[in-house]
Amino acid sequence: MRVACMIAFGVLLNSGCASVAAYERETLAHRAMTEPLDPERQGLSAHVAGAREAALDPGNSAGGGCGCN
Amino acid sequence: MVATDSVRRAARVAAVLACGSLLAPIGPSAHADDRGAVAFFVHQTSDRLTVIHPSASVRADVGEDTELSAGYDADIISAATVDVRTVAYRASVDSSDDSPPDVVAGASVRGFEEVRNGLSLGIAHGFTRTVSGNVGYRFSDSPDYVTNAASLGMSVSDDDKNRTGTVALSVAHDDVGRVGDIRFLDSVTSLGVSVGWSTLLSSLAVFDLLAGIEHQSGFLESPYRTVPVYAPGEPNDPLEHYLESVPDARLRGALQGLVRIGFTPHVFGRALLRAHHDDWGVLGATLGLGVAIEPHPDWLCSLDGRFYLQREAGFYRGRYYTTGDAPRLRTADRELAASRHVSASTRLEYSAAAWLGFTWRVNANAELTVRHYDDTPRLPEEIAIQTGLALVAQR
Repeated sequence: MRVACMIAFGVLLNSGCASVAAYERETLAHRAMTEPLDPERQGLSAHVAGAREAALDPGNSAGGGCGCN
Repeated sequence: MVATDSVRRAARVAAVLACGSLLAPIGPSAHADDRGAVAFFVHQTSDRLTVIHPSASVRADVGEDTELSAGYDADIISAATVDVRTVAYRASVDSSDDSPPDVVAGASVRGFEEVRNGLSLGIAHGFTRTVSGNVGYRFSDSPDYVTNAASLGMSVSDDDKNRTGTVALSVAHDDVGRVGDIRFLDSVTSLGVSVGWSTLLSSLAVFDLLAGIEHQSGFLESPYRTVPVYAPGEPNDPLEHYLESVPDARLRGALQGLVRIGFTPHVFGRALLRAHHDDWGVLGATLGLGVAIEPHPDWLCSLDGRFYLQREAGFYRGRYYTTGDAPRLRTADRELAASRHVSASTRLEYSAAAWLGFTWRVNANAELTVRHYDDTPRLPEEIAIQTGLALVAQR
């Protein structure tokens, strides 16, 4: 049952998708839609969060912690 | 046994999530522009920790379908932090006594200065119009911590680039020690895998889903944190000091969704929700909201808010025994405490005129974070301020 729900969830990921023509992507191509918007700051924020939060950031690779308190 | 069961269960969940995503059409990732950036940040906290963080990065095409990237960053750290220790005022030689100890907080000021240097390298290659791969390596060196990490990833898109699926593997080996020691104490090995799915919801919105798990094993304590244990009525003469003790393996997982929306051609928003859990009992969530406004083609202003909440590790309130028993799990690590964090940040970016074929942008940003801890012994509330300045050239 759990496996079936997971697969259904995966298919649902596609159900809300749209096909957008290239000439319709002006807004999507704007720099404010870039992810991450600020990669320099995101690198430092991820490093600080690693020392203060227990959360795993799935967008950052493993390791690279510190021996700090 | 519990950790092994957790690994099998988590691997099965990740595999099913990945299979479910691959049932749907998938699309290529966009080819990135050539880019160079230098940045300078200062991070300060209310407990007198200051981190100066300079960085430089570059990304450039070296062929029709290949891109190289390299980066350098450093942390210049100075601190006189209030180092909160856990102090137990109950001595028991009876290992069957499970009554809670009298635990209070003791604090001492520990000052230090050190420098961390980091280097990263990456290669990305487009095998076809819809399939690309990337390899990365990261090295970080400080007097008490050395990291070597590598990653391998792949992305697949549909022909119209409406959908993209990604998968990434990462491995890291960290040597952990204390400043001034001749050798490192021990090491930590981390293995991670993440899968992602990006899709266009409309001509104005994008949805990103990302799931990851990571297994760590080795020396996961802080080598600087010890727990003194006292006998009743003897507050000035500890019977002994135990090094902080936590399990030697940890499995963490997270699921994240991000929506980016262009409300108008000049107003944009994003919303992020992340949930995380690990087999140490930590459970938490992150909510991020942001808005960016373009009052003029050369200016971009953004405001972001972030809310973070977590439950403490299951062994956070440890039991303390003085003699006859191996130390039970104990820690006063902020990372593992029950806590709530709130942060607000602002960013202002200006695009200068094109020069040498590049678009030049300068941005300034500031962030305020308040971290509140709920636990026994109580950790002091922490306020952090971070400011930064960056110069970016892109084409």
